[in-house]
Amino acid sequence: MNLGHGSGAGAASRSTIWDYANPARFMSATGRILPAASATAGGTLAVGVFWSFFLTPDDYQHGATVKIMFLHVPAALMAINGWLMMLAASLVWLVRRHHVSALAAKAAAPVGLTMTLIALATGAIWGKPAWGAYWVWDPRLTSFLVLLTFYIAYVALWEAIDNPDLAADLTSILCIVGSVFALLSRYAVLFWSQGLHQGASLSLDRESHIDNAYYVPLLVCIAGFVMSFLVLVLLRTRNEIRLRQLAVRTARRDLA
Amino acid sequence: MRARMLVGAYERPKMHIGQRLGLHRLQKGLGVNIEVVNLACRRGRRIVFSGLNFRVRENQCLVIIGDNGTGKSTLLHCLAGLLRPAAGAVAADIDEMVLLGHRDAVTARMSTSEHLRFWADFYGTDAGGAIKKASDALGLAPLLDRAAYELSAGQRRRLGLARIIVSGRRNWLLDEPTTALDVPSQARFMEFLTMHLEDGGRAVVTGHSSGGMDEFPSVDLTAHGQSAPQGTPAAVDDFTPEEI
Amino acid sequence: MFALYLRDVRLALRSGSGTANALAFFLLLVLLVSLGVGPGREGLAAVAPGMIWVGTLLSCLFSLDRMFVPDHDDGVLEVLVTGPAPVEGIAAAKALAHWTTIGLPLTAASPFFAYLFSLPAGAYPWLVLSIAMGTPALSFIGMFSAALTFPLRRGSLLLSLLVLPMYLPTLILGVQTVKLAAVGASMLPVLLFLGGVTLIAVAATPFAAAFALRANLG
Repeated sequence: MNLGHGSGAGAASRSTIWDYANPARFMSATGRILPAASATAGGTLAVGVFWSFFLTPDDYQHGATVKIMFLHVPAALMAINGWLMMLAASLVWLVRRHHVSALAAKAAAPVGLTMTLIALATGAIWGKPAWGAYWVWDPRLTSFLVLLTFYIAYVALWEAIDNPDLAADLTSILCIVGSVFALLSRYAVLFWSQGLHQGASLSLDRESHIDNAYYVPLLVCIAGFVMSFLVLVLLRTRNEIRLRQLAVRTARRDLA
Repeated sequence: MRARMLVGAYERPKMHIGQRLGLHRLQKGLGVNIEVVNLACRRGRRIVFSGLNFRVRENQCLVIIGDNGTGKSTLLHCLAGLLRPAAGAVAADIDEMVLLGHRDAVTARMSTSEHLRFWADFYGTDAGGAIKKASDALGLAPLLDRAAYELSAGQRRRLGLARIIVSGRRNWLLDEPTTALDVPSQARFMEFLTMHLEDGGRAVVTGHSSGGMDEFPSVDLTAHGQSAPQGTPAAVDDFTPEEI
Repeated sequence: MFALYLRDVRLALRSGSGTANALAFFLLLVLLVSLGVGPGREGLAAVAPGMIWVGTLLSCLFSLDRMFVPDHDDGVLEVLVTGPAPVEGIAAAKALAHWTTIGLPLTAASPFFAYLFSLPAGAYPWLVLSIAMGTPALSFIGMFSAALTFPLRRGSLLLSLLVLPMYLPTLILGVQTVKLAAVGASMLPVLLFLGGVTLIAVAATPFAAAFALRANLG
């Protein structure tokens, strides 16, 4: 993979990642890999969930509720990585003006938002037996609530602006500035909950605390979530491209 | 002398990163005339005109005419640097352009004299002299202490025009400057426009027809619209037929 | 740029939409909270740091949608952007004027509101200092969000949606400074973090806002 400038006339045979910035190349390439990718993602997720739900032992302390972890941890991981993907796509849009990049960022937002919601919901269900309440103002939980508000703001800004290029510009700059303040609140929250709540009990996701019987199926679940996220984002990006093509064709027909 | 080159979609690969971010790169030695080469502009997603070429030299005024929606205001916004061209290029001196839009840039809660003083400070022109010159040229002396919300539409337009004089800039971009002006004010406007041009200024003025300004050369944007054969730029989007 | 700053400050002081409204809003909030929490001094003192900061934040928020919208409607904004001042400077001047007319009066009035809330005496200097250090961040972040949303017809609700998540670090750190000061604990690291957030906001948002202004006006 060559990250240099797009292939020139003389170097047509050398393919670079930027070639996929062309909507047509992107559509044909993703169209080819999508069926296999979807099947792999679905299969991995099914195997991971089945393994972790039915083939792992109950925890001596938490009982069967420990199995929530197999959904919670991958969802939380993808909630953060989804935002990072949007950040990268926003930077690519601002610097190189590739429409596919802007549309990928737009497509990733609702998926990331859903991942955040899954992480929060599973966290709440876990919290009731473990901490005695569905919701406690734990720094980590609060950080995810903050992340959720950033996702909502980002999606709302996309929805509010009619001109797609302007919307891409403004949401990109919001994503970049928002990332700075999301990171700052991540650490500010640590000051805030000092003395209110002792260290998070969620340390189960640290390798040292986890038995191999849980660790391997957890990895399979994470792989399933990562692939499902990518497939969903690809599907949504393709939808966005189709919508843009439709708009261009409609405009052309109206002019003719 | 600072000059600016705005580069449109056709030159996209050569664009400086700063230009993509909207920070237009300043280039020297492009001359101080207002020069437009194969220009196309976009409003929203629609190309409003394309294939536009003209040059406005010292002492010259160009009148832009065209039907509603042919992009007269869009062209002025593009010349002022507010709008990036969809294709082609504009070369002009960035420090000499001053725009009078269809709104007058008048703040209701400020008085006439406050306006003039603020704009003189903002443009860094000699406060006393420029204000006196502007208020004389437009007959604003009796209105100086009046708040802008007490002014009539024509009086507000005169205050808007006064800013153009206060700015001390040489390239005037005027969007239908005589709207709402009464006959004596229109005569006054023609008088100071002529004086400005004689002093070595340039002007691009829009109007529905070149009525009142028949002496100046004009460009009809209607001929550069979407239906015109010379201009159907490929770069409507990244989503052109070849790519679909 | 300085001319623009002076003009904005004068306009905010002159009209009802600026300083006076923010202070009146804050006073009303104090009244509402006292009626809601009850007149007991201990109950009020417990919520004082949080309420004073939330009040400051909301007073800032409600004055934001007037930052660019009137100038945009009058056509002043496109003239400012095409003038000799850099757009980043225009953005910074707008934010500074907002701080001068909203943040500074709120800082000055904060001991008065703190007294109504029965804040412990030792916390006063730290309250004033934290608000003085935190409000510039509120003005600059708010200016950036206002630059994103000013042309939208129903922009003010969206503006709150964009602004509030970015206000959270300042709120958390500001409240924590006052809380720690009220119990006599060391609040210096929190206060310094608060100052850091403000410095980041002041340094970064004018550039982001200038980009948004250019994009929105183009």
